[in-house]
Amino acid sequence: MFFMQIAAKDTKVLPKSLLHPDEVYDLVTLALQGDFSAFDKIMSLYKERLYSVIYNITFNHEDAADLTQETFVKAFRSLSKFKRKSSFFTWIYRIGVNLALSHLKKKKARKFFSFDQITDGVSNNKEISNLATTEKSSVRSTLLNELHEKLNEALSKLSDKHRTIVVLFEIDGLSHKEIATIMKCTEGTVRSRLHYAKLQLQSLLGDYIKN
Amino acid sequence: MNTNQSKPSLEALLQSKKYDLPNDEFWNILQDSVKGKALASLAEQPLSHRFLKSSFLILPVLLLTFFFSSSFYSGSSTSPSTVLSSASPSLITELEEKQILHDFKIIQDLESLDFEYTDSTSVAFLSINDKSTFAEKNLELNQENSFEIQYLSNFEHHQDDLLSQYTF
Repeated sequence: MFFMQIAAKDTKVLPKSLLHPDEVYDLVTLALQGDFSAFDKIMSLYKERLYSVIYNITFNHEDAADLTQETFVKAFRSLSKFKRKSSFFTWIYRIGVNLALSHLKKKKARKFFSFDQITDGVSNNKEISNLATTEKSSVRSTLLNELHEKLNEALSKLSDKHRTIVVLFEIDGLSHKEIATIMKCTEGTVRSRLHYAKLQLQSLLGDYIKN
Repeated sequence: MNTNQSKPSLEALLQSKKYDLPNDEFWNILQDSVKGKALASLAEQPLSHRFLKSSFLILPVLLLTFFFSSSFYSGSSTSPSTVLSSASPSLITELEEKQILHDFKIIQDLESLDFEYTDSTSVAFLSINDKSTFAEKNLELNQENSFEIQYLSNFEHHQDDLLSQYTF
């Protein structure tokens, strides 16, 4: 029941964008003209969702914070390259997801990626970890913590691309089409990867979730 | 958690991760940091700009080097008109061009002349066979009464005597 309540109010937590696409385009135009407050507004619109996606791909608060910053700086520098063929959030998500995936590639090249390293990484950075932990959410119980740990462990066993699709679809609530645009693949590929990833997660979390 | 009913579904568990977000302080730090980095990025020029700027300085030097090296290696076989046409019109004035062409014509005329050097016994023979040219000379040292022949023959005959004067 507890999880059903969470799922019911989830759309209020991370709104896709409170502004109409045209309003976002106006903000982009203003930012291009040198109005930094316009870019500040754009940041406020997307920072939480972007951070959430990057964190759930990397499982490291410090990396997620750095990559979110890098995404915004890169977006700011490349604003002139943004063509209005796609929505702004798809464009900025693509930058963020690509940065996160290439970061993981580099990290894997340096060290073999394991869940132990991820948790160590988080606990070693107490300042970031304290800031990143939602102290205000009293609903977060020990049970939820334990389940999240298991879920993170299961997600880390998926491939980077499969994990990204699960995060974008199930956690961030993007459509298949939007994910296909961000990941530069077909909708069919998104569907099949999502199906395979969920099957794998079901088998990995068998004892903790409904069959 | 013991019964299947109390367990969450996979979707509900995944969606509950949306709450795994940092607090307000974190967002303020993040936003300030992005602002600083973005403004700093405005100050620093992109790599492409730096490359373009340096190429503006290097390109004329390279072009001049190429021009001079090509004109140097082509040597006398290069037609002056070719060299002049490849040069920048602003570099050579019309008057200078005429002067260069005139000089080149003289060099070409001299090159077209045939010089024969015949080395026979005590005879140095130089002839300029081009009849059309203004200069046609024969220099012969085979005239017996010439000053050179007489001087050399005297030097030959009396050399021993001269040396013997100083022999003890």
